[in-house]
Amino acid sequence: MPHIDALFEMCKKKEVAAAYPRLCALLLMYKHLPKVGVVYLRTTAYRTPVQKWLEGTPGLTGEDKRVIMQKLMKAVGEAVAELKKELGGVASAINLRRAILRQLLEELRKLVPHLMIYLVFWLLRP
Amino acid sequence: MTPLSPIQSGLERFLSGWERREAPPPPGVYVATAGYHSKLVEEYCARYHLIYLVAVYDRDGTCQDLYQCCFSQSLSDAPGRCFIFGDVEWREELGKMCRVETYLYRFSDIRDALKTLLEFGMHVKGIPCTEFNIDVLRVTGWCEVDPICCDVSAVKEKIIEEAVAMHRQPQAQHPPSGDSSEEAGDGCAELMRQATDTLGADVFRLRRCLCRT
Repeated sequence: MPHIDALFEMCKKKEVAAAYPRLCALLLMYKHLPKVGVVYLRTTAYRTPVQKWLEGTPGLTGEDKRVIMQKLMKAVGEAVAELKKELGGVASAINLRRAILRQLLEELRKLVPHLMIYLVFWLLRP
Repeated sequence: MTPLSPIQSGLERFLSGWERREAPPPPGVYVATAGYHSKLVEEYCARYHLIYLVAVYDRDGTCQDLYQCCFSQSLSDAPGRCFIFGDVEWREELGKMCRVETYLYRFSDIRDALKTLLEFGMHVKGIPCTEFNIDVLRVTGWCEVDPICCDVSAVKEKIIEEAVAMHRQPQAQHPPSGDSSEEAGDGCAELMRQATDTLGADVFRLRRCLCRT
């Protein structure tokens, strides 16, 4: 998904990571998925990737890192809880990837509400 | 593409009127990106059938046997006539381990054919739109309906702009002194709270419209 990958880079801006933690958390989860096999859905599995990601984000003070880390982990926790509801505790990588992508697209649509309205009308057409 | 859990009720409703064959799919153009993991397919086939939907474009209604039509065209026509959505792109070895069902339907309009497969993939199988071939999304007009599926550059710019604005706003909204602006800030906070309660959504982005001082 090349255009989704492009969004991941955007989250390296500290303003974006702080303002849109859910979007960035989902992108991070998407980027860290294995291609095959099964995945155990656990929030803690994303702690190290989030830390590494923050280390690679330029211009962050220690306090910034602490605040963004907290926000991202909270968002990861919420996303994992929703995914668990949908897929259970263990999911195949491919199904998890699709579920994360669906959440990501939902999140992006929320950011452009007029598109959402257009989409709803289209889906409700006779 | 890799196998998916079947959603039986939606599947049956969608496929009523389609011609069913217990045979592998004919040659054609796959509308979604294809991937193949033999282990996953093996596990899937132990439990479910592989399902293929073939939308046969037959403008003049001359095609007698839809299945054979996908084979019988001259080479230049063949790839354009049959469009396929399937659990996994067909390979010969799948015939040994999987039970296969192919559903065919005649369309006199290519756009309708692709739209039907797109709707099936997204609404019945729950495939994210980004997994579909970009040309299919364009031809069906899906890029206009849901632009995020095709291009996120506009959204990306918007996100960055808003994030920067949100980052600057707290400083701009709380000047160090000045009674009138403090009052405006309090009023604004109340207005924001009421708007959030009423709309049941985060209205932070409306702050600039709601709180002009």
